[in-house]
Amino acid sequence: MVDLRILGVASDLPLRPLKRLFAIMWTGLAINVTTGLLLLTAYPTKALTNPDFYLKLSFIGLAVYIMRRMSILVFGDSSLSEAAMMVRGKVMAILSLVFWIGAVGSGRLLSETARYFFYGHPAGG
Amino acid sequence: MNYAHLHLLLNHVPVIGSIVGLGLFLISFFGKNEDLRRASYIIFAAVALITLPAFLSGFGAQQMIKGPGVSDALISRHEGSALLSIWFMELTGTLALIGLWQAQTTSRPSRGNVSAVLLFSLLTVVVMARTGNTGGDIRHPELRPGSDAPAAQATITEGKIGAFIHVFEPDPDKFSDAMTFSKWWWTFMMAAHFLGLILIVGTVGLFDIRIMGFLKQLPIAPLHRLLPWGMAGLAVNIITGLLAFAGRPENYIFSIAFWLKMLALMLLGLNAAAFYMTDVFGEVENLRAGEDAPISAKLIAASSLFLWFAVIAMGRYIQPLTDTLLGTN
Repeated sequence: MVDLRILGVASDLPLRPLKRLFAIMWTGLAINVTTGLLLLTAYPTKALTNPDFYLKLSFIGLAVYIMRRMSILVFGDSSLSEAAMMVRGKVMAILSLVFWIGAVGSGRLLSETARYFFYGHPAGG
Repeated sequence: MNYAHLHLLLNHVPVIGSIVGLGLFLISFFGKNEDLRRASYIIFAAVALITLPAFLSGFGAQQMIKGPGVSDALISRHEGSALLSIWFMELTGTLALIGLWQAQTTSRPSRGNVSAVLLFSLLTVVVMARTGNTGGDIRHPELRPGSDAPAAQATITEGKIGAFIHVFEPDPDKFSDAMTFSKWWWTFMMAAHFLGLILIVGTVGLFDIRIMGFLKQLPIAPLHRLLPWGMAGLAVNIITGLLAFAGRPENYIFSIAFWLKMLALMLLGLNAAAFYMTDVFGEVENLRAGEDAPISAKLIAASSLFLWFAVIAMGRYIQPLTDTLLGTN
């Protein structure tokens, strides 16, 4: 939502108040990291032998990096007008959308690209 | 209550409801009655929503009655007809919702929309009548005096209109195979289903939490204008959901989570009616930054959030609860 707004969707929505959505975003990330680690301890072979898993982690890393930069450079600088915020945030917003869609997409494909379910049990066709 | 009972209960809605909606819609042309037109649009939308569980319960009903004494060919013909008519029904409902949205800003649906609704509601009534008829034929041989007992019908003779429509009806088995032949297609549908979810949560979710009092620096009108994107997400999800169901119905109908998800969707329809058809919407649509919504709006927003969360959660739980409902109940 924040990305789309920076790119100009729903332009009569004030941009600056959306800063408060970052708290929700970081909370969501915390939930996913926690549950993700738990899933990893439950099924380490399935995840760590799946090349797509590393792709997903890369996408997430990049997306989180962009998110942090955006919160500092765009929403953290109170001297910027809303138009200036949109200019500064434009590339970050596009990258953010690409990386998060990449993360979700590669996450969805994990079940299809799995090589092993458990140690010694290869995934079938 | 079992699948056959549910199916027989609900299947009245698409057949009769589409006729009632069309009737009111046609009458609205005389005297240019916009209120009547709006009412017919609401009926089309509501009927389209209820047609979903009517369609979905069909597979369970089939499981209950198939066997010696019941013609598989007749069942298959009815299923093919339903696989065609569901799309017309849902499209008519979508066009009606678009018209209702347009009527918010310009007090009436656009002329293009009215023409489209006219065309598709007429087509819907025709194909739905065929679905109703072919369904009745399964258990009511008295409708076709002089024909063989139903189980003996290996080939079916069609009337002229029926034969014409039959050209467009998919073969149910081939349709299922088409949906499941490639795991990449299935994965793509599930990914699209997830992106639709994101669109819904991002728009409806933000709208609801604003009404409940979070982020009061945002005015409500621009958030409300984002809702069509959420509805586009819902449309993608209904399409991918129906395709997935047609591909592997046995995956879904025996899972209690699936039916709870459908129930949540129906309740969301009621919730939307409570929001838009009373004066609650009027009270919130122009709230500016800093203004608080009335408690009635907050309750509706809260139930909306809860129900969408239920839809998502139940969707995730379909697979682990796959065999919780078996047999006739």
